[in-house]
Amino acid sequence: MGMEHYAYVSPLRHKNACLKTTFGITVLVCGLAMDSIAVSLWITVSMMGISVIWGKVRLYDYIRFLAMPLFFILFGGGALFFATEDMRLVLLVTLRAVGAVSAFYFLTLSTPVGELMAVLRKCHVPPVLIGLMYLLYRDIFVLTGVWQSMFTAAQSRLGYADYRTSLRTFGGIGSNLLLLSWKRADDCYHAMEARGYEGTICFLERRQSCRWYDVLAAAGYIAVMAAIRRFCG
Amino acid sequence: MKEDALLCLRDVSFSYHTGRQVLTHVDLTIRAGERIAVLGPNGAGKSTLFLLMNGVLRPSRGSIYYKGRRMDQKNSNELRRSVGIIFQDADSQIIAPSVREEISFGPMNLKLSSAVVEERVAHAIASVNLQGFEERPPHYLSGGEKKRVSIADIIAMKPDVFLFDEPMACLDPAHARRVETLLEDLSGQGKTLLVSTHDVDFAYRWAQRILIVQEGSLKADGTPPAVFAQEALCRDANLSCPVLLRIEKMLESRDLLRAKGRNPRTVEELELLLKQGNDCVSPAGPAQG
Repeated sequence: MGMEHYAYVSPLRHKNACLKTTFGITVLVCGLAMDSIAVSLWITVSMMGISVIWGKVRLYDYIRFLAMPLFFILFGGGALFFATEDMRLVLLVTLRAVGAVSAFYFLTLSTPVGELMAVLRKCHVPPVLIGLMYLLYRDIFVLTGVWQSMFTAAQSRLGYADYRTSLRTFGGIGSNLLLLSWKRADDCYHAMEARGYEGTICFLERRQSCRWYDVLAAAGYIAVMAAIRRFCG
Repeated sequence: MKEDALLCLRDVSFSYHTGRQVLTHVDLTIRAGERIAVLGPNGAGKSTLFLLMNGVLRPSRGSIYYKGRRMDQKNSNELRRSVGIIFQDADSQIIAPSVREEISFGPMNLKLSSAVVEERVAHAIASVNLQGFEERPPHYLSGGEKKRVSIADIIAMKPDVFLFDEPMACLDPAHARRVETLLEDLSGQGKTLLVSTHDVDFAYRWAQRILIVQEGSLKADGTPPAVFAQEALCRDANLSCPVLLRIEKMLESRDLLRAKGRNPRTVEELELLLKQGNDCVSPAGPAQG
């Protein structure tokens, strides 16, 4: 399963999106600001725990998701080591980065993009931007679907038989996709106008109650972070 | 203009900016509660006709009247509120990240209060049987489910007139039947329906009135039996005769169907006619032994 899909099926999805976003960002910022190996380790391990235990993400998948950024982070850590030869610094920087990614993964794996956009709207991000984000998000899936079927159709006609042909096919699909998205933009605009669109995209806001024990849990987590910083350095 | 005319097109022509003439001199009166099938080859102008009726496109010539009032630039929004289009490709209609949000788009544009929007969304979801799909993102829906979402989109806006652009295209038989039942339901609620289609058998059994659009003009307008009786015209538009009408003609010509010119719309109706015919015949017929 992809990250996107986990966000939709996660049991944590039904928690208040604003709270989750605030929590994720606070942990991220505090983790970076506290500048401590112990705190970063705590964030990494606990966020993995939350996502795997409460978010029902398979451990294997979680590690798979983490592998890509981890590769770049370790690469950067290696470079830093050769430059400074300060192992503590390398460890600190690497763990802070991993912690930050983990905090964001908590958000990504528990909150679908649509709900994140609703949070942004509450934060008074200009409606034009939000509207664009909605359309872009939707189009990613539509165009990927179209691309997938064009790819298969080209493959069935030996479009990827050798290197030269593959390059030509790739170019052909790319230009076709451009023309198609052009036409789609037209159709989509007509369909929106037909439903009374007058310049701003507006959907019904979902009402998610914010439970006191969720707020308490989030506050408790941050308190633990502060305590670790205080006692373990 | 007649009293019960809901939507009138008077000498409407339309051409795109490129100069291509898509519709020429269309005159059409639609009465409240009618069930109309729009037939014609691809590119004949059916979709353009729908976009004009909904006010997204403006006629280059002629005018459109809704409930007797002329629709122009200023009140085109009224037309969009009262006439809804279900587009052929659900993907070009669906824009939101979840089914509930998607269906709320139209009612939100009507500037209704959130309580009313919520109620309308729930009602629309129930009428297309998509309960439990509210939080699903559209990219995890099947083609038939997407179609139902696109229909719910318009149901939630509660228009008087529904324009369906080839609603059965690319649907499996089960979903096609579902859509047909939905059309029956809407018609039962007194809504006015226009459905563009290539399926002559569906048009014959479902519609009260058939329009044939070809090369940008209205070639025929009448009841299904009357329209399909014009053989030359149907041939020109590449429309085959509905199977049931052919069977009826065949039975009549062999004198197997006594009740002539009754035009049964369904197999069941034909069966009933045959039975009635035989019941009348049997007393006079030879005694069975």
